[in-house]
Amino acid sequence: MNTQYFDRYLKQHATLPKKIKEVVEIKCADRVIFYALSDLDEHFEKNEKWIVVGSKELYLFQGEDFKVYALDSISVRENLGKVVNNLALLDKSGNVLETLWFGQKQNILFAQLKYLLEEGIENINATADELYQDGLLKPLLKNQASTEIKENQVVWRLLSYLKPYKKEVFQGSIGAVGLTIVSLFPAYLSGKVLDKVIEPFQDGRLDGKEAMQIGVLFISTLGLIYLAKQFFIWLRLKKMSIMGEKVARDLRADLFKHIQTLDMDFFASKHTGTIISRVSSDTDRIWDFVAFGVVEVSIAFLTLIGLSGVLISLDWRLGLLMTVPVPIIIFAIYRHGERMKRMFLRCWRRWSELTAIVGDTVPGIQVVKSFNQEKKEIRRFSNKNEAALNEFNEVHEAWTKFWPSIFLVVHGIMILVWVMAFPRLLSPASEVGHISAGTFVSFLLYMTMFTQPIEIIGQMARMLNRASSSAYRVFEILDTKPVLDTDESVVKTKLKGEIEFQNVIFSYDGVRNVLKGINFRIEPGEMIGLVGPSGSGKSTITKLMNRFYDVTSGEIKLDGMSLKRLEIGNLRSQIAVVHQDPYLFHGTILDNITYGNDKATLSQVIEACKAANAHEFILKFKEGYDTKVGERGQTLSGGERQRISIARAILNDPKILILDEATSAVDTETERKIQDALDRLVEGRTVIAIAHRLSTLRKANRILVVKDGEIEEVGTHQELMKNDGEYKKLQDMQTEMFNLLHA
Amino acid sequence: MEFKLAKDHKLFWLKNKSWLEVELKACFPTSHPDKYFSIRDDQGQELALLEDLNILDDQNKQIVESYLSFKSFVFEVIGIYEIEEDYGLRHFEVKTNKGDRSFQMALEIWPQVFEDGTIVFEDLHGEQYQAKNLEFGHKTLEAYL
Repeated sequence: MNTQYFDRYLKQHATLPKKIKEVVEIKCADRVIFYALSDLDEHFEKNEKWIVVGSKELYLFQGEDFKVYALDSISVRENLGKVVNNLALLDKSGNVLETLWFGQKQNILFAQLKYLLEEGIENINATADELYQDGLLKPLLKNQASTEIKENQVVWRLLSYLKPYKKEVFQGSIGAVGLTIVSLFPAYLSGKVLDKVIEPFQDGRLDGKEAMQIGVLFISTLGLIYLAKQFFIWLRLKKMSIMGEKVARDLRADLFKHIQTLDMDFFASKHTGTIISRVSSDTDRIWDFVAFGVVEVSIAFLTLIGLSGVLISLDWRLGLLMTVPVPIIIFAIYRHGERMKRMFLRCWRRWSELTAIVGDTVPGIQVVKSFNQEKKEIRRFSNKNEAALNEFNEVHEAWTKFWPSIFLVVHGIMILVWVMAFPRLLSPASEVGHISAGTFVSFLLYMTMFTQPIEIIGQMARMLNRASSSAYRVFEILDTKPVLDTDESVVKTKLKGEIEFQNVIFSYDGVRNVLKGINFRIEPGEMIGLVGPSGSGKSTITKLMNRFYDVTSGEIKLDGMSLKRLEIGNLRSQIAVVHQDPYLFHGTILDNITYGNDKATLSQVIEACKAANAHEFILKFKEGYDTKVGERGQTLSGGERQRISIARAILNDPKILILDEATSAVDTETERKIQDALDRLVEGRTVIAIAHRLSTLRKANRILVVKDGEIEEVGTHQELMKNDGEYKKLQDMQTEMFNLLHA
Repeated sequence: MEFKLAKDHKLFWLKNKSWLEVELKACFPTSHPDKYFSIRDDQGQELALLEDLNILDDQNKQIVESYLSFKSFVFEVIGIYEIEEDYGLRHFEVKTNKGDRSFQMALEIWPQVFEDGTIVFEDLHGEQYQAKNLEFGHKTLEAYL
């Protein structure tokens, strides 16, 4: 268990303090089944009161004192506030014995505590430590990485993605090193030409012809050097940017492939936007770093070291004057980068607010127009636009002040170099400390090369931070393992459609059971209706059949075989779900119908659509089956989407069909068409239909009434109506509602 | 209207000579925090609407205010020691009217700034913090507003 979350974020013990555990286990000879921390007192200030649930007693520990209450002598009453909450322990007469105050961080644990004290402690499927840590860390882990990679490990791991591209890395590095080296030559050669050619020629020590020959050679060499420089630049940019793209592609591919293998738990715990940004912008930032960051920084360091060496070797006094302030300048640039980072954060916020208005207004433009609110929206946009402008202006204000100041310092140093050098330039050549004009010109040219690498190094920390945090977010997903328990001997088989639930208990959080011992058996080809109030566990039953989650205890069998023994892909390909609001992907109607069975022939597609009552409306579109459906299928009506999803299910030819409120969101005429389509679809398949409108279940062989995670009643519509139970109650309510609406 | 408050701040309302356990739900908790409260039973059914606290006598008004001070309590941030970005979240170390506290916000969730200058932070666990007059830490916070 990583205790850093508790030490750094939650600031509370990672487990029950040892002393308290010993009191419960040794002094009271009991076992710790569950515990929680009351972290506030009645004045809402920090507090540490531990609540421990034992097998028959409840213990309260505050400092050295502790109190004991028999579990069967107390009840609880919850009082939730906006931030501060309490759970009162009551005696049998309803008097408050204790009020336990707690903040939102402890909320999950106190909800579990309340549940345990009300429902009993029999069905706990985890240890006290697991429940405590899980309850506290869940919200953190949803946002934070579940892995424990150190920042430097992230960078190394990221660099390991370069392995397949050794050739490109080598070529890019040759480009970078070559560029650094050849960049140093022109200044050196210029100084030498001045000292060895121009000055001797002007003094008459060298004749014009020879001087011209050397001049031609010098200019040609300079030309070659610049050609070589451009070659190295081209080599570096081409190789590294292509390689960066390849690394980003590999990461994106790994990431997307891995996401497809993850369980529903993962998707429930991460925002869709977060996952999308990891696949898109995070991999893009990594590309940026791999393609340019690594090389740019290496070049900058190489250039600086090379320049410093050359300057000091040309003239150590002037060289030191030039190089000693460099670390200070780098530090100033780094600080400026940090400041700019904060400023850009604000800009980014204002920018998001601005784009949010566009994102909000455009999809809702019909409402804007029908309420004649265009002017109000324009005003809202203008305000945000102005705010964004102000933030960006502040950024420009900052950098336009900073960079001239830095260059002022650099130029100040150059002036100082001149001040130091001038007397020495004028001194006789024989005098100690004399500096030749050529050497000084070389020096000046090298000085001008000094600023760019300084700037790049100053930005390095920020670039590294951005890339490593993106890499971390990417690796976090790559390191997430699917949690579904799989039997080692998985098999692929063609199902007949027999389903059996054997005493199935299921809990999403390990404490509160959503299903409390479900038993039923469905024969192949049977149609079963599942009815019951919202939250009773109907949808959970179908999710377990699809193995989106594993049962907490008990077993689900298909054709007499444990669900865990079936290969998941094979299992899911034989179960089709028709939802109330089916999801259609971007693409054509044909793409959506053949999703899951792209080998289907066109005539099979048409046949399926006819059976689904979809063929006629599809042909009313100009592009027929090639009509593109918009985002989430928004260009189609609810009933049309529904029938496309039925056609998709027919084409997949599943053995088991789950109809999840399939006809509840459409008008009567559309419902009739869908019902016709469903009647054709259910033939020869095992069907589980969840429905609120009980009239749609009259054809069901049996109806299971689910309430509070248990099966309350089983029977045909006629049998259940005679029973005068929950089903009859629901039916009467619906009849009453129908009569009211049609009175 | 007559109310009483239990030790655990449960509110009871006298209706037809018997005390009913009720919740007071503010209809406009942010824009009009002292007006329009729905009085609801333990099943969440509205029993009555209290339009204004001022229609209550002093004693009952005090009881309801005391109840609301618990129900609508948020930590008041006095100063900000540190804001640090970790992977996936932003970590705050602050001084509040109830002592030093720390909380975390998701990176994509930002403090909300209201027209009167009040800044509201909601952390990953749903805990709320609000800052009106910071004694220190303005500069640290500035980048995140």
